[in-house]
Amino acid sequence: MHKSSSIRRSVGDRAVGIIRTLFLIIMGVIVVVPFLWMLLTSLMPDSKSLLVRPFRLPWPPAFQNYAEVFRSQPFGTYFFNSIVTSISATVLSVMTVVLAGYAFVFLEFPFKRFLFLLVLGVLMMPSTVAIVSLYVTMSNFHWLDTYWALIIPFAADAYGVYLIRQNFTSIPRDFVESAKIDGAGHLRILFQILFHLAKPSIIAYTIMAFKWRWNDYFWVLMMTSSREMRTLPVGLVMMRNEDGGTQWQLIMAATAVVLLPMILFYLFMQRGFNDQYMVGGVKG
Amino acid sequence: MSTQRSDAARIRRKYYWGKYRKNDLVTAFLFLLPAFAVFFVFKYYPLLDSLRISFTSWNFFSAPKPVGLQNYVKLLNSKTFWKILGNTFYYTFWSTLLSLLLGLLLALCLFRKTGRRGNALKTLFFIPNITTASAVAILWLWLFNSANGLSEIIFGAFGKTSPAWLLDKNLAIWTVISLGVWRAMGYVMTIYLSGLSQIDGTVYEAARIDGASEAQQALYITLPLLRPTTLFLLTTNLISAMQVFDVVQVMTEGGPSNATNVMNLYIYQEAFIRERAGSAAALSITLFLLLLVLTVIQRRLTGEEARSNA
Repeated sequence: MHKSSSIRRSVGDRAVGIIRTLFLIIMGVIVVVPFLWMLLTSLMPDSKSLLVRPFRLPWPPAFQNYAEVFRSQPFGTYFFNSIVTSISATVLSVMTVVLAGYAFVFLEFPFKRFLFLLVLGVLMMPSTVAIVSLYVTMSNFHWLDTYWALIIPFAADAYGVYLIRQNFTSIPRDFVESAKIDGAGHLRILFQILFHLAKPSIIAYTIMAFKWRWNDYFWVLMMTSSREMRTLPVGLVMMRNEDGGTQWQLIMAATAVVLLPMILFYLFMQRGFNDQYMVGGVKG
Repeated sequence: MSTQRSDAARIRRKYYWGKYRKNDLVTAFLFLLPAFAVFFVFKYYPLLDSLRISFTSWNFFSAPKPVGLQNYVKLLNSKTFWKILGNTFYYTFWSTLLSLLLGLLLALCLFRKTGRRGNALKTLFFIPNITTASAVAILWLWLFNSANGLSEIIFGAFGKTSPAWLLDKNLAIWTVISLGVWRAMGYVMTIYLSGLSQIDGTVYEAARIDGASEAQQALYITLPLLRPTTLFLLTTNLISAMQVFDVVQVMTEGGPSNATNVMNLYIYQEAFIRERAGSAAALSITLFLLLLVLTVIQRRLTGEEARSNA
């Protein structure tokens, strides 16, 4: 339909077309150039070659910079910590959020509305509203500089409860009722029926939760003090601060080590990533 | 007859508590417990505790000294506080405005491109949004490095010297804003694309028959219909930009002379560098109240929007 009516395009429309293409090219360059600059720098043989003008492509590429990052800095440990804390927090959070969502939609209990309001209340709290008290709490628990501090506070999430509840409400109650008549318990209904019916939204939430944990910097910075407990983002910033900004080829290799896993994860899981916005909907 | 009724009552009592099934109650309790334990221990209790701390003078170690509203009074009388609040609004305003504008333009350009190339571009523009903010901040330091970064190369190509982006009072905050916009615009684009896909295509057919150009269609049809999406994006972007931390902490630590300092970073510095727990708590509570007002406005606006659309 668009084709047939666009045969006789006016001059104005053609101008719009040209401007559009130009705009997309410029924005594409803006998005790509930082990544390109990071990768090019990360393959420079040494810090002296960064100063050569006019700029020359790193040839042969110094892939050993990546090995050097893992050798000279504990990036292996950082990587391990990032993986362990992100995955544990995500798995726990998906479980608690799905259980709570189930209770809010398929079970009857007193104070339901009030309890849900409490969930919405958490949504309104900025992540940093209580850092002073949280720091003291963690210290009292003797959780500072341990995995516990990086996992347990994220073992549940109000946005997740809200999202999953929203999604469960759209599931026909008949499915659940007939399963109950067949004698299925709540856990069986949850795992055998709802997990399948709500799969897209559960996957979308899983990706979202993982992304939040993987990218987090503030919390880890506050709660950890030793090298052994740092995650990738904090380790990278510390590396740059210690270096003072001279060995940029190594710092950029380390930056790539932090950024690339999430980008690859996104490219593989694109459907799920995009679903998170469809599921969340515009209603917020 | 009567025994039957009392049997029914007995069975009801066995399985029900009032109008609730006992089994449901126990299950609900167990299912809600983990989530609510986290919410109470790590959200509600710390919020109330912060409120309490904000009325004291405390350095984390000695006994806290109650000082009433003194922390808040000091804040309101401190030039630094107003400057930092101003910076926070400045950053929030410009990064939100530019991300929405660029994101909207991207969505409008890519909306009808459903082929392979269109999808590839949509994917590309979304990538910045999933990156780690602190790591990109490091990358930005190197891009804008005026001694031997990309900025120096580009300016050098024109025979000029690069401005010292992060040492200049006026340029520093714009360097930070550029990163915020770079990361946010792909998200805005995605939400706008999903908003656009819900618009009924026949509206455009009618407009085209009436001879409206593409630009006119965008201006008079698309934009008004995207109002709910815009409102949603506006408020969520405002709320998240108000809380910017990672980028500023990594790139400038608030400098030069607080020119880029923002609320969350200032709270962090008060608490963990100057060890003024009371003052930091008062700042947190102030930020919380500011965001609460924004959130209430958001609910109002989007709520009304939903009602008027229904």
